[in-house]
Amino acid sequence: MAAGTNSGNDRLISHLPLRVFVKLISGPRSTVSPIDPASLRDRILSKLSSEAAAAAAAADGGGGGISTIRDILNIPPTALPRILDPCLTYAECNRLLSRIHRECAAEPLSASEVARRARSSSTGGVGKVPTGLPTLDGCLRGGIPVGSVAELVGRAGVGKTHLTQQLVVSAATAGGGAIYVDAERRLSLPRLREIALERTRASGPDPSRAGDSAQRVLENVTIHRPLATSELLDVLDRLGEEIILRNSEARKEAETDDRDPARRLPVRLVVIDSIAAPVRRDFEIGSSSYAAAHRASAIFQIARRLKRLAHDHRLAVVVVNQVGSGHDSSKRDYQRNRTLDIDDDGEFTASLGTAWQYCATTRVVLEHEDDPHRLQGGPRGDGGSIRVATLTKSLVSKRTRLTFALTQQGLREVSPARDCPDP
Amino acid sequence: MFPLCSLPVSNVAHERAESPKPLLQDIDLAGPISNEQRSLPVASQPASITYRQNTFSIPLVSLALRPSTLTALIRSGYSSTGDVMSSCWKGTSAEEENNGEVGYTRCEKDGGGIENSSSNNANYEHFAQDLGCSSSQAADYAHEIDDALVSVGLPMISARTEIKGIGETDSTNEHGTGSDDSGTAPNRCIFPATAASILLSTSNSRCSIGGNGHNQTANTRHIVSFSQSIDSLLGGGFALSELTEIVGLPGVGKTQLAMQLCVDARLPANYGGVEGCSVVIDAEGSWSGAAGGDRLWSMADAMVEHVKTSAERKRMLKKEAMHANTSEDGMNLQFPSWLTPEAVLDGIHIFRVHDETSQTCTLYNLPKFLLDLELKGTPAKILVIDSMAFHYRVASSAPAASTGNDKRKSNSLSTTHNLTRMAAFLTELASQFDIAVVAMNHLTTRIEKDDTNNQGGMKMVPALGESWAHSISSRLMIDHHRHFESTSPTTIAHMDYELILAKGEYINLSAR
Repeated sequence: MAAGTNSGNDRLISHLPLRVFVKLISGPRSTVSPIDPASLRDRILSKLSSEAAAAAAAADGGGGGISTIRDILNIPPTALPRILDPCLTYAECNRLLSRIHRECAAEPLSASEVARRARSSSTGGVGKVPTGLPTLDGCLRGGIPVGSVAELVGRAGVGKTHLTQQLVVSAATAGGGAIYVDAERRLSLPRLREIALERTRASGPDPSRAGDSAQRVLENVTIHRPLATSELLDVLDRLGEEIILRNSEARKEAETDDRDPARRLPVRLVVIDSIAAPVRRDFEIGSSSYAAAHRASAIFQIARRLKRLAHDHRLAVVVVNQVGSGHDSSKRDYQRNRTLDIDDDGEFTASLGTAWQYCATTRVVLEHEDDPHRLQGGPRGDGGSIRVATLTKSLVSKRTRLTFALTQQGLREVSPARDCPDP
Repeated sequence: MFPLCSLPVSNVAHERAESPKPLLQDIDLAGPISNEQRSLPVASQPASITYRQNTFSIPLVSLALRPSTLTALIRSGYSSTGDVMSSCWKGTSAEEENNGEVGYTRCEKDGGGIENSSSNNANYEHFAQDLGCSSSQAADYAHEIDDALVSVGLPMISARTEIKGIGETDSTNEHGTGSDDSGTAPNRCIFPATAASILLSTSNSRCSIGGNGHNQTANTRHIVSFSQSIDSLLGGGFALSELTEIVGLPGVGKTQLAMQLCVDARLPANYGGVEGCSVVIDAEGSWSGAAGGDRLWSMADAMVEHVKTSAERKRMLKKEAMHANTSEDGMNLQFPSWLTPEAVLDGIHIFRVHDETSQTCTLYNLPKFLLDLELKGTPAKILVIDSMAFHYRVASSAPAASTGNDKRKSNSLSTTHNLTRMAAFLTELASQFDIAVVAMNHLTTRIEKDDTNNQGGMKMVPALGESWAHSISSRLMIDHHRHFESTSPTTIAHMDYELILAKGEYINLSAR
C-alpha cells in the first residue's frame, strides 16, 4: 500500500511508455491536431482524471478519477469510449486497451529454465535452506526451497523459534544471509549465537574457527521489530531495497578472503516470526464477517508481498504461525485446525485459516507428541520432551513424520526416519 | 449489435488472426450491378456509383460511434447511414464520373486518404453545411462512420479505400489480435471479402509445420492425466476447447495434477497425447520456485522413462509377433528421439504474475503469444491458471484506503465484473485456439448458522462465485479422505490419502 511499491496494481497510466500512444489514432483526423503521442497521452490522462471518470467510478464506489492501470482495467470496455469521448473512437479505445495489456503482461519463462535454476547453485549458492533434520531435508530434497513461502505451525513452546534460528545458521553456513522480522519480540540473540557456535563446532570443517563462523552468522542477520500490521507491511515494502543493497555489497566482496568473519553474504532467507501476532493484535477477534474479511485482507496483503519477495530476490521465506492455545488438536480435523485465533468455535477461524493455508507452498507442523507415556518431564536440562514434526504440505514430497528433541544445538532428530525416499 | 453481424465462431480457429469478417454473400448489396460486373477487376468499373448509392442503410445509434459524433449527427437530423450517404454524394455524381478512373487507381495503390483530401472534401461540403461545421470535421465524422461500419463488416459509405489499422482491432471482442504496429494498412477494395478468400488466407497462415502427428492430433480431444480414475471421471481426460476447473483444499494436490497435465500434454501423438506446448499462469508462485522446478523435472523424467519402456515393450511384442521380420523402421517410429526431459520442459511456458493487473493483462495478451507458438509449429494445447482465485481474492478483500466499507464492497463488485469478463474471454480463447483451459480455484467457508450455533455449520464452497461456476464446463473437486470419528485421525487420514496416490496411476510415483 505504500507508494513505493511497484506492483502493477498501483502503476500509473502516466508512466506508460510513449509507444503505447504512437499511431493510436487511425486515419486522418484533422480536428485532432496533435497526433503527437505525448500530447495525446496528456489529453487522455486529463480526460481520465476528470468528471466522466468519476462518474464511471462512482458506479464502482471509488472516487477521484482514474489514474492507475488497475482502475482503467476495471472500467468495462464499453464505458471507456464514453469517458474518452472526443479523443478516441471506439476502435481506438480497444486498441489502447490491448496495448496496455501488452505493456503490463508478464514475460514467460520456460520450465526447463526454472528447473535449471532450482538445481544449480551457481547464483548465490543456496538452492535450498537445510533445516538440520535429516529426514525432513531428505524429503524436501535439500531443505526449505528458495523462491516460495514456507510455514511453520505449532503451539506455544514447541520449538518454532528454535527452528528458525537453526535455519538462519544453516543459511549462513551455506553462504547466504538472513533477515529476521521479529514481530513477537521473542528472538534471543544470545541463544542464536549459542546455536551458531554449537552447530558450526559440530559440523564445520574447522572446529577451531567456529567462533568466526558464528560471528559471520551474526554479521549477516538483520533484525526488524514491527509491532503492528501496518508496520509489518512497511517493513516488507522496504525489504526489497535492503536486499538489493546487501546483495550488491556481497557481490563486491565476493573476491575477498573466505574466512573473513565480517564478510557480507547475499540474502537468502527471510523469517517472519510470527504472522499471527500482528494480525491478532490489530484486528478484532470478533466473529462477524466484517472482522473476518478485514483480517483476511491483511493476511492476503502480507502473503502477496512475501511471495513477491521470494520470487524476485530468490529467497526462502519462512513464516511462523501460531495455533490457538485453548485448543485440542487431537479432536479436530487435522487439516483445518491450523488457525490463528484463540476462540475457534468454528465460525470464522477456519475460513481465515483456510485462506492463509493457500498461501504457503510448504508446511511443517510441530507438535508435542500426545502420547502421555512418552512424556519425560524434566530432569534433562534442555527441557526435552519428544516432539514431532510433520511435513503436511509440499510439492516434492509425501506427508512425512519425524521426531525430534530440543537440545543445546537446537533441534535434533531423535528416531530414524519412518518413511522417505532418498534425495 | 446487429443480427446480421453475428460472427461465426468455429471450433477450428479459422479466423482469429484478422478481424473476423462475416459472410456477406447472402446480402444483396448492390441491386443494379450484375454478377458479371462484380467479378470484373475494380479498375474497369465505371458504373460503381450506383453501387455506392445502395438501399442498405442502418440507423446510426447502432454503430459504435463516439457520443459527441452521434449527438452532432442526430441533432442535425441524420438518423441513419442512408441519410449521411445521400448527403455526402449529393451533387457530386457528375464529378465522380470524371474522377471515377482516378478514384479506382487510388484504390489499387497504397495511397491514403490524405492525398485525396481535395476530392474527398469536395464530397463532404454539403454534409458539412448541413451539420454546421467545417468540412474537415465533417470528413472526420464520415471517416468514423466508415470505421464503425467496416469493423462490423458492412460496406463503407465513402470511396475511401484504406483505413489504417483496419485489420487490427476487433470491436466485438475484448482483445486485439492483429499486429498493431505494422503501420502499413492492407490494400482494400470496395467489395467485401468472400468466405472463400477468408478460408484460403487463414488456412495458409495457420498451417502448422509441426509434427507428423498432426492428423492424429486433431482426433485426440483429451489430455490424459495418467490416473485412470480421474480420466474416467472426466470422460477421457481434460477436454480441449473447454474450460475445466480444479478445486480443493490447500495441499490436496491441485498443483501436482496441473503439473502432471502439462507434462502429459507433451506426449507424442502416437502415444495418445496431443503433443502440444503448455502455458502456465503462475499466480501463487508454486511453479517458479525451487520446489516447482524440482518437481517438474522429476515428472518430465518419469514421463520420458514411461514412454521409453512402453516403446520397448511394443517393440518386443512386435518382434515376437512377426518372428523374422525385423521391423527396424517400426522401432524408429515408436520412440521419438526428441523426447528428452529438457525438451519436455522447454515446451512449458510459465508466466509469473504478481497481482491482479498483471494477471489480467497477461491473459488478455495471450492470443498473440498463442498465435506465435502456433506459427512456430509448436501449438499450445493446454493453459493452466494456477490459481485463478488467489489474486481475485486478494483484490476483492483489499481494504479501503479511505472510505472503509464502501470501497471494499466496490472492490469486490469490480472484481466480480472483471471475473465475468475474464470467464467469457477464456471460454472463447479455449474454442478459438482449441486448447484445454484448466483453472484452479480455492475453497472458502460459507457459514451456515444452525440452532446450536456450533460446529457443523460450516460449508466449504468454491470461491469466485456463481457466474464463474456457470462459465466452466467441468469442475473437479479433490478432497482428502478423512475420518472424523476415528481416535487418531492423523494416521488414518494421511494414510488413506497416500493410498490413493500410490494406487492411482500417477506416473510420477515411479520417480519418488
